[in-house]
Amino acid sequence: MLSPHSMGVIKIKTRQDKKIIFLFLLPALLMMTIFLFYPIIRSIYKTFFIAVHNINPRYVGLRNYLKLIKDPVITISIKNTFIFMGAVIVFEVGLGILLALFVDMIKYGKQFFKTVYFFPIVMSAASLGLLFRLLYNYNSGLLNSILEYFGYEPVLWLDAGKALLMVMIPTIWQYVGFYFVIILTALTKIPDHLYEVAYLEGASPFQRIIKITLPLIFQDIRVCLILAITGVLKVFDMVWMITQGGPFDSSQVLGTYMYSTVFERRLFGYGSTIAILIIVLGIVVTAITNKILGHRGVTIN
Amino acid sequence: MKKKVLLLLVLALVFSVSVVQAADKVTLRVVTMFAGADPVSEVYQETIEQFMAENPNIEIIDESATFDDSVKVRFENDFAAGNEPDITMYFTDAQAAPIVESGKVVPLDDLIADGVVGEGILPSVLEQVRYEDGNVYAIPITGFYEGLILNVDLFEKYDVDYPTSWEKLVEAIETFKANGVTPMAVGLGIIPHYQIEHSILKVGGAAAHDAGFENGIHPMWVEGLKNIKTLYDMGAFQKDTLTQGWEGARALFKQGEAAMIVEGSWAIADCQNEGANTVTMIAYPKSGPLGNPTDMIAGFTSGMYMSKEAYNDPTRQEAVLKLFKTLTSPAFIKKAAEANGGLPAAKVTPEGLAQPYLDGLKAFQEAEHISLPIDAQIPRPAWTEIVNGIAYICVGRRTPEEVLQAAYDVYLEIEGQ
Repeated sequence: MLSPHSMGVIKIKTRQDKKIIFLFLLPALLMMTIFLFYPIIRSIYKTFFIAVHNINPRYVGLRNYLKLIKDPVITISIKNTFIFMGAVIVFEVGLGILLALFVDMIKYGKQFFKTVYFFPIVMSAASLGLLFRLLYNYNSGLLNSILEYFGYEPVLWLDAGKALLMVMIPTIWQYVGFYFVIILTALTKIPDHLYEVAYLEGASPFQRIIKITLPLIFQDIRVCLILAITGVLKVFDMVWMITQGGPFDSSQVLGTYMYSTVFERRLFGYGSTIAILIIVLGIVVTAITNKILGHRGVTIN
Repeated sequence: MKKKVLLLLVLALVFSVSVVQAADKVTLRVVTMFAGADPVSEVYQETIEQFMAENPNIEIIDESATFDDSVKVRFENDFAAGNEPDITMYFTDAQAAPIVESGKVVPLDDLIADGVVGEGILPSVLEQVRYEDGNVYAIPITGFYEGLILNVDLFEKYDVDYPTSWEKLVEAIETFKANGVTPMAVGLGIIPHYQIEHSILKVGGAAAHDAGFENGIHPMWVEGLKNIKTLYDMGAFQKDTLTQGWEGARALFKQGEAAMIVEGSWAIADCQNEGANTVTMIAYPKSGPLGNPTDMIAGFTSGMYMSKEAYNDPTRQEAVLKLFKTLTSPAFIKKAAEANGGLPAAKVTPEGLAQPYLDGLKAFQEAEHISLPIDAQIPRPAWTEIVNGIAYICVGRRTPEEVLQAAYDVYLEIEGQ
């Protein structure tokens, strides 16, 4: 067994050391305070006011919270956000894992697939959103042009029944590569001898994945799931570019509803209340996810 | 060695600062709407460049932008946070509140009376931009008029009369529909503003249109919104109107696939699509018993504001006044009106206007009554409630009464009643 010293880890013992650590942490703490904690506290404060155009705020007590409970668009937005969440768990993380497993098995072209799957990440969601908006366009969009070429009637891709699905597709497509790369990196940590032993003992490729690969990368999958789930609460740009939450709020998510409340309706107090709801939901959902997933998983020893 | 380098750097810094101070250069931050596709942006850039060439001691930081909602909020917050530009072109209607009530812009009445600013500006125009506290804070450049822009080529091709009455409008819709042409390009999903105000004006008349929410919901507003549903049910709009915004509607018109579009004078240049479509503008037809065929929505709803901070600073007052006077001068206003075909705020006559602008101006001059748009009259959150409700009304998921009641409730909440 190696001692911490022999591994290059120095134990913090003295008060002087603690001061140095605090000094090193201070800049980050200051940044977090200025750009995260202060705005959150300020937002909480604003929830108790009606502030049109962010001027002349009028104290209204808990009225914004009562409005939040009664607001039917909030119900739709929360429902859509959770549908989105389910979709990203299954398709974003799920597809990321599948693709990583497949690419890990191949001998040649790993780098090519890595680049191809990761590429959408480097593009901005706004430009991708615009691209997909044009793809879905009823009159001159690519999809309807193809349908018309083959003699089919054009389709209203962004009607109330399909709008949410149509914004989920590019969002998921964009982020699959992100989780693919995380999982692929995790797979490289698994020593080959484990697979060799399994192979010698007659385990099928499927069994090897289920019994060796997945348990060993469980902690990485867990991180991916938490990132994906919390990421959904921040979904905004793609939805805004494609549907702006419509038609009839059918593709409204919390991020777009907060934006339109502040930037279009100019209701800063109510917009802040929606922002606080997003933060609370984020904390609750992350806590539940952690609780469900726990710290299972197997370590290589 | 290091010490010498450091010493040199410090000396260079001190020298550069003293040079700047000696030159006494004044920096002015300016924000206008003359950017992007705005027809005035070229004229504005030329004016700014010429001004800087003639005044080497004044540096202009130009932050002009296309004013979408996020940009508007950015500048509203700039005013709230004390980071206001020295000269800001912004709205003078109901949207002016965050600028004026921030207390950071100069009331101009005394300066106008003393002839310091506002040379040649029409008094009636100044009256239109007077804020509710009785002061004038902004000097307008050009005004606008709204109406029905027609694709003349399509009207001639299908031998359709211009829709100067409701009957003719219905006839035009039927003919274009029968020929596979979208009769009217409208983005009901996002920003159907112009359709709303024209329907209310031409169904209920100017008095109803201009009623605001002071005395409750005007019954003619209900009828006006019902009229949009009538047009929707007739199939007057493009098939994807519920998911479209104004850009999509305008694109459809520009591509020659729609025969009519309700828009403002600022859109005429874009709608012509570089000559591909011949267009004209007429007053939106009378669509109900109380409407007037000639009434139009027009006016001045934006202008140049000057910050108190720059004006009260003795080192910058002269510079900011000089630029403010240049940007509100009759010469600049004439150039701007020639570029965007809008109504000049000063006593000048724009020259060389293209036919669609002349048609629009003629309709404006013949109007019996001119109204400011509804969003210039009621608070923004209440207006947005109506805008967002239009698609719901058209498909029958909400009634005009319900949508207007929701907007009125928001109005009451804002007013603290």
